[in-house]
Amino acid sequence: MKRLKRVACVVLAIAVSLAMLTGCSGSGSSLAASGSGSGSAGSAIRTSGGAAKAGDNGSSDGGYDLVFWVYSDAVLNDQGKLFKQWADDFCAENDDVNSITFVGKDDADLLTSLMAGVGLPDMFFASARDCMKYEQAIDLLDLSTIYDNDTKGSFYANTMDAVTANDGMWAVPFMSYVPIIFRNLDVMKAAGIDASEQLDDWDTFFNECQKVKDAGYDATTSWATGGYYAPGAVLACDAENLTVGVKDGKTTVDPSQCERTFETIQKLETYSNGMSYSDDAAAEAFKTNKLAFLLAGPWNEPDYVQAGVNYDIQLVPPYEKGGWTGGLQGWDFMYGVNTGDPGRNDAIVRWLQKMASYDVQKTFAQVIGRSVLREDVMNDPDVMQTNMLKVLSTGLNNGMMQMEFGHSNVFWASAIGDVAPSVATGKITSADGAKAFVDSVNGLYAEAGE
Amino acid sequence: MRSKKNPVKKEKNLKFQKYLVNYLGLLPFFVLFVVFVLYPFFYGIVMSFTDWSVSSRGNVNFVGLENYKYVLSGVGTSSVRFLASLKNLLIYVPLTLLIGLTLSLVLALILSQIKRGYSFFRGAWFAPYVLPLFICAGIWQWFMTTNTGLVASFFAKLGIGVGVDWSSTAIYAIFLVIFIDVWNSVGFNFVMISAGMKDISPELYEAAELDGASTIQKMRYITIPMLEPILFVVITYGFVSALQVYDIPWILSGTGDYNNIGGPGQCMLFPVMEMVRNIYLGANSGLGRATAEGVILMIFIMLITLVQFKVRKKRY
Repeated sequence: MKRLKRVACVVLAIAVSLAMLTGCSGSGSSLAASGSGSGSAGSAIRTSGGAAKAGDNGSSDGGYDLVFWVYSDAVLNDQGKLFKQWADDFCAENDDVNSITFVGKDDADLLTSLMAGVGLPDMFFASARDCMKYEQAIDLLDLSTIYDNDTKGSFYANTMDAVTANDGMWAVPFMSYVPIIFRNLDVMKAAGIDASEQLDDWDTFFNECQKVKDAGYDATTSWATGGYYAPGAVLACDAENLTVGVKDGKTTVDPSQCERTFETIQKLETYSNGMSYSDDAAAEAFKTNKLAFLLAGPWNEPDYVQAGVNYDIQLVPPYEKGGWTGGLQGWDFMYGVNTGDPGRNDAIVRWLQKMASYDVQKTFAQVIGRSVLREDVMNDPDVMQTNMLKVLSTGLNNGMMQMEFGHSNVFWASAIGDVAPSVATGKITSADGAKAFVDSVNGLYAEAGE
Repeated sequence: MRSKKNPVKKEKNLKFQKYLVNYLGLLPFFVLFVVFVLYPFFYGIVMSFTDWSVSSRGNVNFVGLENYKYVLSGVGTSSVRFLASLKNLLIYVPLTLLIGLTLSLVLALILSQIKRGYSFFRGAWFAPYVLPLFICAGIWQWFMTTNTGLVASFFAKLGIGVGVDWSSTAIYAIFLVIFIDVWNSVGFNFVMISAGMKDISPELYEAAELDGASTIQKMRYITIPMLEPILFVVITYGFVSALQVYDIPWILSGTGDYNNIGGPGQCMLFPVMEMVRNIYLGANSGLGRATAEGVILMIFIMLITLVQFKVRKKRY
């Protein structure tokens, strides 16, 4: 009996150890080595509690269970319903696809998982800022077959340039945004400002800020703090003057070209209530009619609608009426992972082709109210029914890209976030700020080895 | 002729056979320990000598001490940021420990005199500790909002930080992090010290009173020496966690962009944050640099802990 217990103990201990070792490596390692995402996608399904079959290249009935990592917004509320509807339609139209499971992830989570090389999905929806990192880190699926000449011409031209590299096309341009100014019309009325007057230039904006301030309200937040977003929006108003590029590892932007940016940031500080644009307190002040102008993003609109704020939307103003405006553009792309299985890859390409289609992007813009990267959709009068979309459409035609999407890892414009506060507080002059900014950009290029 | 078996060796074999099952019972633990502790630990150290980056895809080259030289050189964005983060750490760690420990000790001493309501105060002081740090940071971000925040306005009335954006202004930003960290951890330290105080025999105090010792003398010659083992644990734990500070400043300076993490002029940047930045930035050798920074931080932590142990051994 004692001997039997001993043997049982030994067997159990070895079994537990082996089970743990198998769990730790197993299929994940081989996937990492091969760069395939199929089996790991199965683990993502299990993690997310999906009902699809796990860890397979194709289920027993020959159909695929695809996994799509998306921003968490895309699994919630209206966006969630929309994507689910598209997935259901796609599965009905394609016999070889059983299901598409959506897993909400943020950029940092995506990047970590991709670097680890295990747990990859079949498709993912992520920032265009990391496009080159994704190209370098994983085996992306070449989506060239999606893009015939008509399709190419339907997107904004610079997006096609961004997804094209090394004889391939690596993503589907989908969503975009530009910084926008929400104006509280009640505060404006109280300050005696005619709400029909548009923010045609910076002088108009400063005049309105002064009137609001004189009426005893907060005009705006600090445009220098909270990172690159607000000062970057001002920088983009000078986009026409900036010679953006890199030569011999240094930026081709000259400090003199962005001196005006820092002067504007400094002037804006005189109308600031000291908060950052992203502070919850700033949003509260806006919603409770204490703050007139709040720089934000299109994603903030539902919050203000829900709070019942009487507002309108304006682009960050140009320096001259009719001049360059639009702010710093951010883009989001959809990517496919090369799973090594031609059939599965084909299913992925078909899904992404659907995402690139006019109908899908038009519905997205109409239902969600966010701008997309198909130019034909953004110029369609049927779509341009809301003030937000009209403003975003103008912004996309004018604005400056945050960085050289798809061809650089350096988010050069973000360097302004480090310099702007010093200029705003008067610690350094605008000229010194411009020089410090260019030095900082050069530092980023040197660090990245570009 | 066959030689006689060594009796010592034979005894060892017998012992091994006797305890074989016990050793095998420990196997699952060792498997977990090796896979999840030892392997990542040594893997990290080894990778700090390579050009490992997001884009390596397994193609990693040995670069010797290059990563260490770079991060300590003070030349290049990442290096400048890392050195700035170490400077911030030099301010943050001693102040957090000093303020936190003093406050905990004073609290424990005061509240030990309270006969009624002790449980309430203990619970109240401990409550922040059970809050997730990101909530603590969020609460204080609200309190410290320029001009309108409850605490920022109070400070402004005292003439401190008038019109200052606490989370993006040098020195103020570090004090904000210290403030939140102390607020969060003081309850835990207080509970530890209080528990230690309860173990001190009342007879010692009675004897001291008979000898005419004052309250301060009792504290100096009885309470603090008797609390030494607890204080040692609290200080060591405080040191290690302070050196790895990450979540509070990350949230306070969070902008959704890694280049701006740590606030303007790196006013709130700490080493672990810079490591994370290196990981996500996608630069060449980014992961190698991050692991090198991790190893440097680990050496600091080990040295400080070693000094603490040595000092303790010498004194007691």
